Amino acid sequence: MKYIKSFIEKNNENLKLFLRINSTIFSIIIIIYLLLLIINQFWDRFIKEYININSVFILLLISGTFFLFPIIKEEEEFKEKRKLEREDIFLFLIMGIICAVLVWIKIKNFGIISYIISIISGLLTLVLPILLFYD
Amino acid sequence: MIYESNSKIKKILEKIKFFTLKNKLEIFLFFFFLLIFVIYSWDTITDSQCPFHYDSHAIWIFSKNLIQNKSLIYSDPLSELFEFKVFYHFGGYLSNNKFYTIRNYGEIFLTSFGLLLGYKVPFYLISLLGTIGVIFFYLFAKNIFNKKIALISTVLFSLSYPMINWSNQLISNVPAFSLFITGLYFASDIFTNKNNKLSRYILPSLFFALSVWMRYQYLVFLLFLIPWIYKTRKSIKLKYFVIAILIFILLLTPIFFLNYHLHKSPLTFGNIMKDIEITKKSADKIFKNEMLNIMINTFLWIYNRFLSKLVRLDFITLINNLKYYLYDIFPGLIIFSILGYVVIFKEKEKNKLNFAIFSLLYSIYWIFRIIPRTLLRPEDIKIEGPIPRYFLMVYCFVILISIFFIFYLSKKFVRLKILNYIIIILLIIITVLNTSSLLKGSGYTVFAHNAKKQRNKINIIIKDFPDKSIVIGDRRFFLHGIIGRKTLDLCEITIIDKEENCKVAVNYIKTLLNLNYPIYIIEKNYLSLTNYIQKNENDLIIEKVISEDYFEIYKIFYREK
Repeated sequence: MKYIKSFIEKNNENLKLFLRINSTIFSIIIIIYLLLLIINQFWDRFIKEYININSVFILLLISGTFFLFPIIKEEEEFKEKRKLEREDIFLFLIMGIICAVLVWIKIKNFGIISYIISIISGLLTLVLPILLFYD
Repeated sequence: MIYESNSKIKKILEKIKFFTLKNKLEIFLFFFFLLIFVIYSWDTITDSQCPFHYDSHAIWIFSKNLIQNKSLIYSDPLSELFEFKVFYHFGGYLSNNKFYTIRNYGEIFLTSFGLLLGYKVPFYLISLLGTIGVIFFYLFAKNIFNKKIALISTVLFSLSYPMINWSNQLISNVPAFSLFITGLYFASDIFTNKNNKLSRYILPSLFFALSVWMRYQYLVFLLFLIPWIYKTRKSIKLKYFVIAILIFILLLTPIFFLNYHLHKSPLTFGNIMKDIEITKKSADKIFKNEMLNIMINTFLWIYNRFLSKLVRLDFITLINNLKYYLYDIFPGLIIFSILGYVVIFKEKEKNKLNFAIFSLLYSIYWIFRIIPRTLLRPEDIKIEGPIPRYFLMVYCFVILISIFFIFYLSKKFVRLKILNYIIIILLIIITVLNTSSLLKGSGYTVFAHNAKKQRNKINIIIKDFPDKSIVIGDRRFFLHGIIGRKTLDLCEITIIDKEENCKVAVNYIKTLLNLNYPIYIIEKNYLSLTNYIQKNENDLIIEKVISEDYFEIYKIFYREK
């Protein structure tokens, strides 16, 4: 335990840098992982042949564990509140449209009902984040 | 005048705007739950509903029997005439030519109550209970976590494949889950010290008892609440707690009376009796052996039942099988739920920690109890099978903890708050896409919807047949879900040789014709019985009465001499 403590004290700056890099890597891997899952819904063969999602999963788990257990005390958390801006709504709108299109592609052979389901799912992806932001 | 009316309209519009902005979440939830009810009762709304599932057919028959004969024992006098029990082609067990249910009493009573109100009502009741379950899941999540986590978890859970699929079926998993989560919500009011009135003690015992009526395993699940009760014992009023337990026991006692009435033992359920009947059949094999063999057999039974699962615990098999039943249904969420549990145990916030312990104990027990022990391959997986419907509670816990973790991230990335919303949006997209691919793919929901539509059409057609008519068919094709007239299942004639099988079936048909029962055969069936009769039976005439794309119905009668 003493050895670990002295190691941390000695390499304080390096560890801080590592954790900062890790938190950035963690957030990037999350997005990559989720995007891969979406791609997997449409081109599962492509994913199986070229990328192993499980390895991304394990990478995310390791990075997440480091993210949760910072050995060094973190700097104070930011307490400022971010307000909902026009760009955010625009982003949610684009995501909503993307969601609606993706769902429609997936279920287009359902007939008219496919349009209704995709519109509803698009609306959900638009309204939910706005509701959360507005709180 | 015009100016005055314009200002009035403006005022009204402003009021509406104020009301909408003030209650935006409630308005959203109202429309969302309405949408969920429509999705959960989609098969019923689109006239594509019937008790199609093997279990639901049994529930339907026993419920109808309860209304008509005021009895939980089903008995068909015609069955005594035949060696093979062709009229009992649904779940249950036969003893002294009486057919006993192995279904839970709750689901039979619920369906009977629905049937009293109309043909479609039992199905609507399941969908309604599913929606109520989702509402109380939201309230429970709000109690333990917060509004935001509750909202996202509810959206993801309610739009998941298992909830949509099983809320459209006459099976008690969704009602049992809903009643349990409702009870859990009222209990959480006491655990979190939000409301400590007597009503908050009585309501959980009422809903927990009802969930046990629906599925008996929920009695075991209550045991996992003990650590939570123990850790919050200071906020629990002992007097009220004792009253609640007494009410709970009182509400369960009719189950034991019914067991005694049916099986002459209060603790013997239909399932146990079925096991005993099966054992009786192989009893000769066991008891003709020597004493040593009996002892070995007993030890093997105990070992297989209780110890083998622990001794043969294969971690790779468990992970592999969990991948199909947990990861594939909620891709993207599992990783967050693992990290979410770590955060809760690290932060040690009282309510969340107690909930995490409860959910973890529950999930571990249930995963070990239900997940198959053999290494499953993709072709072995039955997403439409029993495991996902037994796992509803596990799924809701996984979602809740994952969403908690995503919101925990927002504390860390305050400047990148938008990142959290992007993660949430991506998760919603993944859930909706995955649900739709399961519904139309390996989950068979769309297939089941179309099959139910076909059977519903058959039910409408056979309503015009004489009351005494008997429809002969094959449960692998059309028989389950046909409820308009009495049905005879060719699958119950368990002779391997097809020709012999056909001979027995024809003999049964002749016996029934002699008793003046109008007989109809529905094709297709695995024997192609109509072809056999046309080729080999000169004294019988077959007449096609209905022809559709996917089925044909033939009437059969004696040739006039």
